[in-house]
Amino acid sequence: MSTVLTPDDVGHLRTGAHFLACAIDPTAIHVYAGMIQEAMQTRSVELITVDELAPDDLVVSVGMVTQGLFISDMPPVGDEFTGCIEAIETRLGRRVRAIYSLAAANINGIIPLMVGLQSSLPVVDSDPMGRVFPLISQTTLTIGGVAIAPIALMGATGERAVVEAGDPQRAETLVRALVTELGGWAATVMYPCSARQLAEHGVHGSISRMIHIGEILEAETSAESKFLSLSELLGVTRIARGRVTHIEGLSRPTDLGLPAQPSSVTLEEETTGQIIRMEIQNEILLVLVDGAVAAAVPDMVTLLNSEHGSVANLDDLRVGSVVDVLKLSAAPQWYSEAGLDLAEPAAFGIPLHHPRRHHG
Amino acid sequence: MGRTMKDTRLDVAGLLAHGSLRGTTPLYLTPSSALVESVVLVSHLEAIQRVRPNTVVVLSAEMGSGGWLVSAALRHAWERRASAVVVAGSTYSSAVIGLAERLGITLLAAEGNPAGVALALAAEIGAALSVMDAELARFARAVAKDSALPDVLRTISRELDGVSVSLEHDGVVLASTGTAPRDPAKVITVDVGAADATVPSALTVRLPASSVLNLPLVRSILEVAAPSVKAAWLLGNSRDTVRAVPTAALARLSQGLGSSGKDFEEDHRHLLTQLGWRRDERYAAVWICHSGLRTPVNDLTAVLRLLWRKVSPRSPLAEVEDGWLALVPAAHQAIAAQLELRLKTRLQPSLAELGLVAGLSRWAEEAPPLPSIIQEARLAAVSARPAGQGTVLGFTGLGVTAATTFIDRDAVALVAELSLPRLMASPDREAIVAAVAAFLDHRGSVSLAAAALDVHRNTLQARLGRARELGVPLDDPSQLLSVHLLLDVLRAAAPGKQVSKGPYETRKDSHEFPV
Repeated sequence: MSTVLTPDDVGHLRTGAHFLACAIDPTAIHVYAGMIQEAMQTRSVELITVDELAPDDLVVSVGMVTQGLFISDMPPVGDEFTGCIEAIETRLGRRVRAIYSLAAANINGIIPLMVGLQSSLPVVDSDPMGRVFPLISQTTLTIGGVAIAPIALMGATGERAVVEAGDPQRAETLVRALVTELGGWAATVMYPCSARQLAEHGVHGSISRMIHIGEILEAETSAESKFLSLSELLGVTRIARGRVTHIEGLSRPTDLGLPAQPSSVTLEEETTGQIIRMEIQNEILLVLVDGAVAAAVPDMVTLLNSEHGSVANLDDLRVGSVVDVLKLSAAPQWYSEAGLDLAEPAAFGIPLHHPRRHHG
Repeated sequence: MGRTMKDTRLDVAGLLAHGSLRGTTPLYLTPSSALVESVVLVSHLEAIQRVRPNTVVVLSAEMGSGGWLVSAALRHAWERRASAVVVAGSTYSSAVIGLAERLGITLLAAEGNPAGVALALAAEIGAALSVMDAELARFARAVAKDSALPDVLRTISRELDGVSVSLEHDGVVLASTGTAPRDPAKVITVDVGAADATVPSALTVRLPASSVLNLPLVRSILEVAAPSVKAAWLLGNSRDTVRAVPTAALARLSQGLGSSGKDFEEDHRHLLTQLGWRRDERYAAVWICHSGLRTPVNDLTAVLRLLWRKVSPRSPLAEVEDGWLALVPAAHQAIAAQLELRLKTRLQPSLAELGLVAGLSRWAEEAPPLPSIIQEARLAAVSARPAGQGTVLGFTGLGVTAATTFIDRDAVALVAELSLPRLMASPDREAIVAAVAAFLDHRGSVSLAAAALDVHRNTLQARLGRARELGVPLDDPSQLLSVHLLLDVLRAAAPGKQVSKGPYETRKDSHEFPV
């Protein structure tokens, strides 16, 4: 059933998108949410489910790809995404019927709303990650064998490129190189596919989930009550309530072209005294409790301020901060053998197998 | 005996002070020094999940030195009860060292390549093991010199600082030495196997909680000693077999003779003298047999002979048909009484475990013929069967009642069914059976029988009259013995058995006290 989104929904979506990616600076999400709410005064954006499209309708993902530059350092002109959609339509000789977000968190969770407002295309309540991953090849569509290319990119300079590559990892390399040349970020449109393919291989309910999370977190209730609601909605579990004891930058070597530096945060559990160690790079990749794996990618780990129940941004953590470390499972596709090959700790330079991987 | 083997053990503190860990920097040291038995150089974390306890885990340089890696390695090492974790030298956060402290595992940083530490430690452990092997060889030579089982056990115990060492069969201690600790913290057993028994026997050591012995080493010592234990046991058993030949021969010769001992001794005088039996010597016979009718398959002779040493080590136990027999010299009654006491205190629990019973002959002033005492012991043993396994019964307390043991109770009950059908069909059968049986028990005295049953004599008279009506031939003396036997069996089989006082007990309020 299609829904016309309201400015309140956008506010909730902003909070939900931050909750699912607490390791990333939320400034850009806030800037975009403000712009979308402003634009909604004169235009509307429609959220639809993938089933509402004809099976052969062409759908594309929209998302920002960044390479070490904050978007606010070089603001977009505004026509980047529509330019990319035109390029894909020209390349494929077909009209795009709907768009979907490249990721279900952070800035890419909210960008489709802006693009929907600009293009009047409906936004599908699905995505190919069910969370956010740093690499564009780390998608359930890749697991399902859906082609990533052709990929259209456009930067603030107005320059535009279409990348043709069969292999998702090779496409990743080419896109990263182009993004650097385009100034550090680029608007992209990729994974052009049929609605049937998206229905089959995507993760569904992504946008509405973020809105629900925002509703819970912005409610005037206690932190514990928010946790219980999240637990009911998403199956969130609390790994620990800990006090930060140590923050370490550049805590691991990295050579995989991942767009961020590794760091670590150590906490001490408030009641048990357990030592909680979080390994971070773009996101919280690994949580060790007294050295034992308590969560590892593709599990999602996020932090809540234990006093107010608000999202605790990783950049704002200081020694002495007390936070709840929460864990939620990713989409089931990520725990398949192919899913773990793409997104378990080893894919992020941590030579560990995910506990759910079947050995032998 | 030379120095004990515990000296060869390596521990973290010793290796740090003057061994191959000397070149490492302790990031955290546990308060008590852990034992070191092996070393593993790992290149991936999963390998730590397979290390044995008391292993030093060395993380190879290729694994890196990240805090998370050391944290995860500490955790795995802790789960496997490793002795210490050695990592490449680097700057480690207080959180990592804090985790080592929290888990209680020593964390060391290697100055150079950690592989060098692993190699040096491996060489040192190898050298210690070779010393251990030399010590084991010395012990093997020492224990091989002992030919008697108690000596073998004593040698093992001495090597292990006097701890309790025992040879056990299916939970029964056959032989032991040393002091058993009140709180055995660790029990180590090594299978000895037995000559021809299906249930294996085990050499067992019980270590006190305070013991500082190295457990794998204790096991090695037991394994080295096991062949000597088995050999000594077999040797002892074969010597006993030889010594028991006169007993076995006597049992064989007297088989089927009943109690006609005098003629037997006359007939076989020469042979008995040759076997070493003396006519004027008095003996007590002990017969051991299975408590059930069916004989278990495993042969217990070797096991029983070890147990028998606790009772009478000088008199050999012979394996005879349907059991085991020993003839123990008993010149005085006190010796026979002491033998019975020993049987009950030292052997009875083991007999119960093994499903056996034992019978003992009487002691008499006049030296009874040997076949008689053998038969007495056998009858006592067979009579002990209904009382359950482990029962030790003397013929003295049995006498003629032994005869009842040999009654086929099922057949007698069948005779009752056929010959006394009206009694058997009567609803008040139980009361009548009890009344008549008590009457016969008391030699036909109505008063004594009534007192024994705690009923009035008129009641008893009425029940005896009823018995006659139902066809019990109470008035024919020639049938009385059979009637008594039948009723005794029926009384024993009755579900609500009436408690009857013995023939020499009466009610206190009775006027008819026997004098």
